Amino acid sequence: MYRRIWVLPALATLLLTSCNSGGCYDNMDVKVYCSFYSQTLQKAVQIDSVTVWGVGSDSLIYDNETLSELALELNPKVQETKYVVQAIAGGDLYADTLTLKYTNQPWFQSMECGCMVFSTLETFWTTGIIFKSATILNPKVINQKTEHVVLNL
Amino acid sequence: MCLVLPTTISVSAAEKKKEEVVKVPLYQGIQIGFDLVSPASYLISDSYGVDIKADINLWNKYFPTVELGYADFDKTSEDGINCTSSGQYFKVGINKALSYRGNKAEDLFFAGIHYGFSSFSYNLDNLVYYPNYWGYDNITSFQDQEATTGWIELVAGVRIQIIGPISLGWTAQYKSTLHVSDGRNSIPAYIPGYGENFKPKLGMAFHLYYRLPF
Repeated sequence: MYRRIWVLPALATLLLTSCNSGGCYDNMDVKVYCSFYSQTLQKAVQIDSVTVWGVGSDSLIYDNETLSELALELNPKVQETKYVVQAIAGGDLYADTLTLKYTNQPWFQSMECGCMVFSTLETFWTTGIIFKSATILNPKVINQKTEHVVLNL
Repeated sequence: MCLVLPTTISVSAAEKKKEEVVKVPLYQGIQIGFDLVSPASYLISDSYGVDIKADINLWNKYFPTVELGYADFDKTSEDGINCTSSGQYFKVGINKALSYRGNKAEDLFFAGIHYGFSSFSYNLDNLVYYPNYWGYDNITSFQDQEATTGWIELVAGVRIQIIGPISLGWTAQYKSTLHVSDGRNSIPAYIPGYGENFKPKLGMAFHLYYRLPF
């Protein structure tokens, strides 16, 4: 029994040495999550008919949607990104520009997933049309969902 | 006839009892093991290395073991990302004989638990960023990333005497990292002595052993 027992595992040694599981199973979404808060109502609120795009991009992030938060991807090539937020209320169109300033940290996740860029928020401005102010709750923007910013209505 | 049979049983029971009380001395020798697969594994994988281990046979029952090794890794992913890594590792643990044959457990079936540790550096080249809304496509590299890692191994294996002091054996390993300190800009893709940084991980080792003559 002892003489034979090592033969098969010896073959398995070769197989296990040459095989390994792969694939990207990590969350690679790095987004700034911004919730809406009404200072009048003193609670989190939703906004109807919201359209959002990044300044310098020709594609929409949200297209006429009802939202309770924004999930925004920062431009990793620069240290400032602007977004236009449009909303329709009472038949009137309102537009606000959000300006985020931040620093970047490139991050290698794995051979399968590649790299992403983490950021640290420094300032967050609004033009005051829809959102009166912005409060940064958590400046670290990594590949985990958390509430980073509160936009005050 | 009826009287003879109980007498025979009585004698063999006494012999058995006599065998059971034979006391095995504490020190039963040292075995040095050389990994046969690691040095040639670059032929079938992205890494190679050298590995040597030693264990002390105590009462033919317990086998405290230490293991030292060096591993080198060079892999390019399907997306062209290249990772090179090299470093030493150290393992310490204990095996318990589950069954053995021979005065000094020349043939052995064992299970054990080991702790592994490695401090190493690695380079990452031709890195591609995961695309987002802004369509990022830059390529970068991270050099001289450093990390330290500890892991646990649950092992089971056999060791078979081939001739005189020479034995061959294999060990199945179930590994899981306990702590990984990341590099400045990265999670290490490969850990010397552990393998690619997945958790948990299965492994096999195949060793040639030499029993020291003292």
